[in-house]
Amino acid sequence: MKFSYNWLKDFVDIKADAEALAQKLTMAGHEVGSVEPLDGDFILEAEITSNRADCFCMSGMAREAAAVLGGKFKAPAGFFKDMPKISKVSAGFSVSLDSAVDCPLYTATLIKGVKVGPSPEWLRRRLESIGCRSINNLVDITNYALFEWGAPLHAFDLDKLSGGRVNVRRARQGETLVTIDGKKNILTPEILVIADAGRPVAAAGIMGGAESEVSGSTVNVLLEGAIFDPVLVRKGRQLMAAQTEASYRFERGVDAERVRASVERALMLILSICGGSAEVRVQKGAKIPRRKQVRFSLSRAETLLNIKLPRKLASKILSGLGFTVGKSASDPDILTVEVPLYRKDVQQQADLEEEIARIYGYDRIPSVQPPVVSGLSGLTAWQCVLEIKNLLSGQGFNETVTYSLVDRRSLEFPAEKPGEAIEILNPLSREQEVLRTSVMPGLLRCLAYNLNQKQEELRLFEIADIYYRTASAARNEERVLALAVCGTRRYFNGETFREDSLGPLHIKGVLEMLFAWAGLRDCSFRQHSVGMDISVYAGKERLGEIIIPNKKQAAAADIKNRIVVLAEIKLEPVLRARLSLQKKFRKLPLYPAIIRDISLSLREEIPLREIFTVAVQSGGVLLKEVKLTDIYKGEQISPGHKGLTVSCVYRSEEKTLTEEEIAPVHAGIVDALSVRPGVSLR
Amino acid sequence: MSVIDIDAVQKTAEEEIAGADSSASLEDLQNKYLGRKGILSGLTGVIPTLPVEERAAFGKKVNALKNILLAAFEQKKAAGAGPGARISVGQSGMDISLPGISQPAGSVHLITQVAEEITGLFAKMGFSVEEGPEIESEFNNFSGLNIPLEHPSRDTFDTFYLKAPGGGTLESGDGKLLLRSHTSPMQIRVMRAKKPPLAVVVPGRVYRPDAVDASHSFMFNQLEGFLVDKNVSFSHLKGVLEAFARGIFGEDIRLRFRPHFFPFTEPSVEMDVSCIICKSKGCPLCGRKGWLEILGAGMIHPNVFRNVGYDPGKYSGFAFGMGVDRIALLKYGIDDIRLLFQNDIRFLRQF
Repeated sequence: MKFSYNWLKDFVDIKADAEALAQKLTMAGHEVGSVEPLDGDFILEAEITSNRADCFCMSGMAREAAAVLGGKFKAPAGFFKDMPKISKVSAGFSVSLDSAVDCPLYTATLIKGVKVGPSPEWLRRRLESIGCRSINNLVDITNYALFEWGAPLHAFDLDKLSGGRVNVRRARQGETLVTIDGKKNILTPEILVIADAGRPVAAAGIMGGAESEVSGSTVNVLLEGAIFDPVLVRKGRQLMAAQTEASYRFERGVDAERVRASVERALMLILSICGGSAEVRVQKGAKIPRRKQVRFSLSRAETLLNIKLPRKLASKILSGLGFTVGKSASDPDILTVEVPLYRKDVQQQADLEEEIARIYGYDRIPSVQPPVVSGLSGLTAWQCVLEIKNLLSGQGFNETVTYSLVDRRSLEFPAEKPGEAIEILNPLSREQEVLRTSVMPGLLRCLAYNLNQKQEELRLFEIADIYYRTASAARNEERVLALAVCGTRRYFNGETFREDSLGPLHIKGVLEMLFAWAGLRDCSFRQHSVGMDISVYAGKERLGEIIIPNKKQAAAADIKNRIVVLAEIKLEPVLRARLSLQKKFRKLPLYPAIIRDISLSLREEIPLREIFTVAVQSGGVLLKEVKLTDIYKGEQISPGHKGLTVSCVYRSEEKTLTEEEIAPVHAGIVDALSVRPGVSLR
Repeated sequence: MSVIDIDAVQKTAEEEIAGADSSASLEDLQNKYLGRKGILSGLTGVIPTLPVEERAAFGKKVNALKNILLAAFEQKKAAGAGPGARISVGQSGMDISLPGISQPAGSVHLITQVAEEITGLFAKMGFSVEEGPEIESEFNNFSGLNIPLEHPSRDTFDTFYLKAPGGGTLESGDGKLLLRSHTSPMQIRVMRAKKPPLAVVVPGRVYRPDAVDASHSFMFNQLEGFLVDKNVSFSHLKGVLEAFARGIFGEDIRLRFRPHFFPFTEPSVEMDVSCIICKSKGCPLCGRKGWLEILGAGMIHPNVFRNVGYDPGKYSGFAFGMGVDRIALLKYGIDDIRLLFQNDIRFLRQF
């Protein structure tokens, strides 16, 4: 909101210049973003926090200025002392409220015989200085009172109201109201209106109606000062898509004290500028609440704020802000603090502690390191995830962060889902209408983007949550690791450049490394048939899958003529394994190993796993390891076959093995392999 | 077969290796001695013909020679074959200006790095790290934190709600379900589960329905922290946050604590650091204010303590929350938040 430096000076003697004042207000919680000179004045643009409804006006901010500058807040000369007399209270005009909850206070003051015309120069300039357009003297005065005292007022042309009464009620379904901005609104019962005998004449707290608007021909006026339910005003202005200075303040809360001040101020100015006489005052509503009393413990505030707070200092700060401070008869530590109605934000000790602290100055409170309170924990899931990210980065993978909200189309891939997708009730756009059930589509999109940027050798990963609904749970949230590769790895081997296409084995490799790091045992990669997705298991638990999207799926992501490979696994089992991993020392081998190779030719479709299984089953206790040491195709191998060399590592924990001890074992393996269909020795 | 003089073989071989003047000739020599049909292989073949008592000793000698020669070849290769110890690079030896050989490293996302840097600083001050779900209840996200459902303060916490299968809002035992709009609901979760003393930081993703532009994103990253114990004071809040700010932005940074309003803290604070670009002279980054707002904080509101079953007369504490993305952008001079989520590999590799 904009504040005029000169206007503030009506209420408090300010010796500080505008810049210094801005600085002080900022450090008291009203951040001043700019100070601009304007015709002998300065305009301060300040951000008012939503709890300080009382500061959305000059008098409120002036009170703050008085507190931070140590000055005294005073009402303008003659104000509240020399108020006009109202001749008749409630006669010839009636006000009725359907609900004192919707409208806790309504005052109508009837002013007869006004002369509506242009505003005097000083009034027009003041309003314009804070960005309010001048309309006519009467409307300007209601605005002036609003900006000065914070309660929105409305002036009706009394002669345009029919039936000598106003009724504050909910709109009837389908009633219409043309507001002063010329817009025709179709109303609903969620909107509170001021109605005359026949029809709505204003949307309460939001905007007046065009028909009853004050104009140059207006002679008699109804000046409205009221409190409307903040929630109703908020809903109403959302429905009507009309945010106004009035609705803004009603939403944040207006109180009886500010209504009275605004009304009296406006009345005083109307009578002196527009002439006429105030004849009738009608007031209806709920009982005006009493000021709240809060017990304030000095010692508790001293502990919380870590400052010395003598009673005198606390009293000075609080009374400077408009609180009435008394002593407790029984306890010298307690102040009884009476809270003005305009400070609805102050409810308890903590609120007063903030008042003390911000006026005392946050910068004057010493800075102290607290004693360490936390127990030191071992490895945490957070650290584990970081280690995984570092491991993958070391393997050439780049971490991505993609959006958890996706469009519905993204759910088509992959086909298999952990459950039903959860939709957003109020999405901003179709791109963000549903929570993802897989991270893979996000990575696929990243691949497409980077391929489009002519980037090669892409290796991406992301650790993030997926979300889904099942029959038994309305929400599931599960952390996964997703991986993606695409392109060619071109590398220098010291003599020449070689190229590998990135494929499923590049993903299998990092997953194996990850599982080994986590101590996750018995991991396997299974493909049920050629061309199918590859399932990743830890023991019997399925962790996830490696997928090569088909042409159609790739094309849907704008990837053409490229092989991409994606994978996604549950992260929880990996973290669980890592967090419970107990590494133990194993004695280094005392005796040397003997290595014997077997060269085989086998039909291409026979997986290596089959050879290993046979070898391990036949090998007995001396066989410690079987590994692939060569794989080849070519002249010496018949078509449809592949040549393999596997190395068998034999070792005993008790002695150096001899050739004689190994020979029968190794022969057993060779025999077992050679009788397998499709396998022959070379 | 007469006695074979292994020492003589060694001597000849070593002379020949030293004399090799090209990598090709060195290769030939290696084949001559160590190849499948090489001299040493021949020597091994002789073993069965020897008297049984000599076989073992002879075998050992041959093996030892094999190792000596292997080492000699390696050494020669490393030094470069040719007359003298070295030859000039570029002839036929190695060119050290060729690219080195390694697996090129990938990268950890900037958001992860910054979140880790921040959590690391707090960890040194005794804070532990906890993470929580992104799908939250209305209670944890709002009511528990003293944010009334119909209060205008809710405007700043605009929220994505989740849709029930049959329409309407998806619900749980704790009310409507939503995507958390800040990391603060973890205050409620942790305090409901544990008793003080507590010092916790919570990094994580949060969501608000903001249209995407250079400075807004509907998904972003926050870091929440809180410390609860007996006699925790405003001074401790300042001490911890000052240490954090200096750790992240450097020792010479200046700080200011401004009163602010959050429903879940009282007194509330915003912490500014002197603008890292203009050093408080005023520039477009700081809106000519000279200060950059870094985080919101405050003493935990007694109502929040009541909501989790803590006695506000017994315990006090402070909480703070900051935008990890914002700090990353400021620290690295990145002018568009969308870069963080675009995942351009050229961007990712810079960090």
